[in-house]
Amino acid sequence: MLLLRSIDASYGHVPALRGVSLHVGRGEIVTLIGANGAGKSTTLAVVSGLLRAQSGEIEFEERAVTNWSPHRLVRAGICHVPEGRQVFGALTVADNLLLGAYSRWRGAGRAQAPADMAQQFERFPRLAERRDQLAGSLSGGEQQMLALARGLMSRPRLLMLDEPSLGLAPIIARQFLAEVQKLRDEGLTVLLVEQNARAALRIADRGYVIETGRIVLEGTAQDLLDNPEVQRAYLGKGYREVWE
Amino acid sequence: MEGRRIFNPEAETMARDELLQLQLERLQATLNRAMRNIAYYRERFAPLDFVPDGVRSLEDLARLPLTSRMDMAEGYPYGFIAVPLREVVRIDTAPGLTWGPAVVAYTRTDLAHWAELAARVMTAAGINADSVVQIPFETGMFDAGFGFVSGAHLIGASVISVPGGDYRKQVQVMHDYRSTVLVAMPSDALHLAAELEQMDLGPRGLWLQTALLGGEPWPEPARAEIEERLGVQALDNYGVRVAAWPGLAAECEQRAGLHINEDFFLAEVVDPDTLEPLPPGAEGELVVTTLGKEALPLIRYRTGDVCSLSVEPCACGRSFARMSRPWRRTDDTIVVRGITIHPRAIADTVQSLVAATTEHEVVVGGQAFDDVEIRVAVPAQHAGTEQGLVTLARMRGDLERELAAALGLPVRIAVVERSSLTGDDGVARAAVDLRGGGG
Repeated sequence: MLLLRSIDASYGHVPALRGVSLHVGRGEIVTLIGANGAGKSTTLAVVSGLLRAQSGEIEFEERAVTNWSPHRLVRAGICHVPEGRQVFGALTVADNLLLGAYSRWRGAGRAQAPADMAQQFERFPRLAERRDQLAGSLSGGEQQMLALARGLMSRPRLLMLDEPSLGLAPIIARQFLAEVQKLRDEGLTVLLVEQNARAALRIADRGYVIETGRIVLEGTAQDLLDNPEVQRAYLGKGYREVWE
Repeated sequence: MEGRRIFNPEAETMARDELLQLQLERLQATLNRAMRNIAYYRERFAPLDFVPDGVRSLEDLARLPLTSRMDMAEGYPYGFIAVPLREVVRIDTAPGLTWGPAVVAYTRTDLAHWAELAARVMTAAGINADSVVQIPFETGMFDAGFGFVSGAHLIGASVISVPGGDYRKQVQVMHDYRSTVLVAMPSDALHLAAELEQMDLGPRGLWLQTALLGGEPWPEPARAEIEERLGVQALDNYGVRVAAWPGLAAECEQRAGLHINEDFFLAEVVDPDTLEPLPPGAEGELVVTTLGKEALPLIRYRTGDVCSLSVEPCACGRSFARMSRPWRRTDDTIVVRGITIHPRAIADTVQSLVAATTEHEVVVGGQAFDDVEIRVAVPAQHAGTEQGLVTLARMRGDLERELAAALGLPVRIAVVERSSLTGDDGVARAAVDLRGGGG
C-alpha cells in the first residue's frame, strides 16, 4: 500500500534521512523503531507532506505521491496522528472530531460526519462521556484517544501514529495499542512509530530499525524481537560480561 | 506427492515489483550494517568514496567491487562476522586447499531463515509431511545435512539421518525404514544404485520416489542414469557454503532451471573477464549478495559457477528468477562432493613430494562419479630403475595421504608418461572432468 524508495530528507543543511526505503502492505501494522533523533518522526513527516523529500519516491496505492501537499494526502487516504497528540485544547471533544472530517467536508463527507462521530464514540466510550468537554481538560490517555479518533474521522486507509504512548501510563499505553490492533483487524493499515519498541513489536507484523537516518535492519516483528542488537539497543537487555 | 509444491506461497509467488522493493530495502539495510560492522567492507569501499546511501536502486550494486573466496580466507577467522561472537550460535568452516578456510557463522535468526530456505528447496522437490527422508551427509566442520534436517523438520517430514560412506548400510536402512526421499550428493546416489544392484534389490525393492541432489555438478546424462537405476525423480538444488547450502536455489517440478530465493539473495551474472553485469539470458559468473543475513552478510560474492538467469514466468507459479544448472566453472577448478579442487594448488604438494618440475593433471569421474585421480608424470630419474620404482611407490603413497588429507577426499595417484598429460591439441591439461562426457 505504501512504498518509500531511497528517500533523502533534511532540515536545512542537516541530513535527516539517507536512502530510506520501506513498505507497508495492506492490512499490516509496520513499526519503525530507533533512538531519539534517528529519523522516525521525520519519515512520517515526509510521507504526510509536512517535510519535503529531496530525492527518492513515495507511492501510495500504486500512485506516485512524492511531495504531495498534506491536505491532498489526507484526501488520498493517509492520516498522520502526530507526536504529542496536538488536540485543539480550546475546542470540545466533538468539535475536535468534526475537524478531523474537514478534508471530506465537500461532497458526502459532511452528511456522513455525524454517523462517523457516533462510530468513534462507540469505539471510545470515554470520549462519548466527555463530548462537550474541552479537549485541553482531558487526561493524557483521553487526549491520545481523541487524537486517534480525530484521525479516523478522515476515513483513512493508512494510519500513521507517531509515538502514541509517549507520556502515557503503561496500562493506558497498552490499552491504546490494543485499540490499534483492533483497527488493523478491521482492515486498517498502520505505520507505527513508537518509543516503546517492545510494545510496538508485540503488535506489529513487521518492523524496521532506523539509525542516523538509515535503515539498518528489517524483518518480521518476531525476528526483530529476537535480534540481540535490537534487544541491546532498544529493549533494555544488557550483558554482564565485561568484554561485551 | 500431490498438491502445490510451494512452502511459502506468500513469499515465493510475490509480484516482481514487490520483490524488487523488498530486495532494495534489504540491500540497503545490509550495506548499512556491513559498512558499520565489517572492517573489510569499510576499507574496500573507502577508495571508491562509497557510502551505502549511494545505492538508490538495485542497479547501483554493480558499482561495488566483488568479494572473492580468497578475500574471505584472508579474513579468517572472524573478519567477516558482523555481530558479536556471543550472538553467533553456530560456526561452520568452509575448507580451502588453495586459499585457506573461511568461517561461516549464524545467529539464531540466520538458522531460522536457513531452515525456511531448506524447507522451500525440499518442498519444491515434492517433500511433505508424509515423506520419509533419508539424509546421508557426512558430519564434520561443514555439515550441509544440518540445513536439510532443519528444513525437513519444518515441513514435518520424518527424517532419517545416517552417516555417509557405508553404502550397504544406507541401502539397508532405505529398505528397512521405507525411505521415500533421498537427499544426497549425485555421487552418493550412484554409489547407492551400484550397491542396490549388488544386493540384488533393484529400485522395486525400495519405496524411494524422489532424489534431491546437489553439492557437485551433475549433467543430464547423470540425472537420467540416477533416475533409471534408483527409480526416482531426481531434482537439483544449488548452494554456496559461505552464503547458504542448502537454500540458495532449487528446481521445481518443471525442471527448467533452479529458482533462486530472491527475497534472501540478490543474484547477478557478470562477465568473468570484464566483471561487467550481463543481461538475463547471457551466460557468465554467478555473483551473490545476501539479503538479511545477520552474522555473515556477503556483498557481491563471486561463486565461480557459470550460469545464466531468466526472469520469465515459470509454470509452477513462483515469481523468483531461475538460474540455469551450473555445470562449468570460470577457471580450471572442479567441484567434487562439495569440495573445490584447484589443480594449481595441488601442484605445490606434488612438486614438494616428487620434483619441482613434475607435471600433473586432475581427472574426475573416471572409475566413479566422485573418483579423483591425479596423474603425475614420471620423473626422468625414476624411470626404468629398480630403485626408481621403489621411490615412485613411496611417493605415490605419500601423495595419496597428503592430498586426501588436504582435500578431504580420497584420491588415487597414477604415475604416467609425460606425453599422456596433453590433450589432442598437444597442450598440457590441468583438469579433466569426465562426468559430462568431457575429456
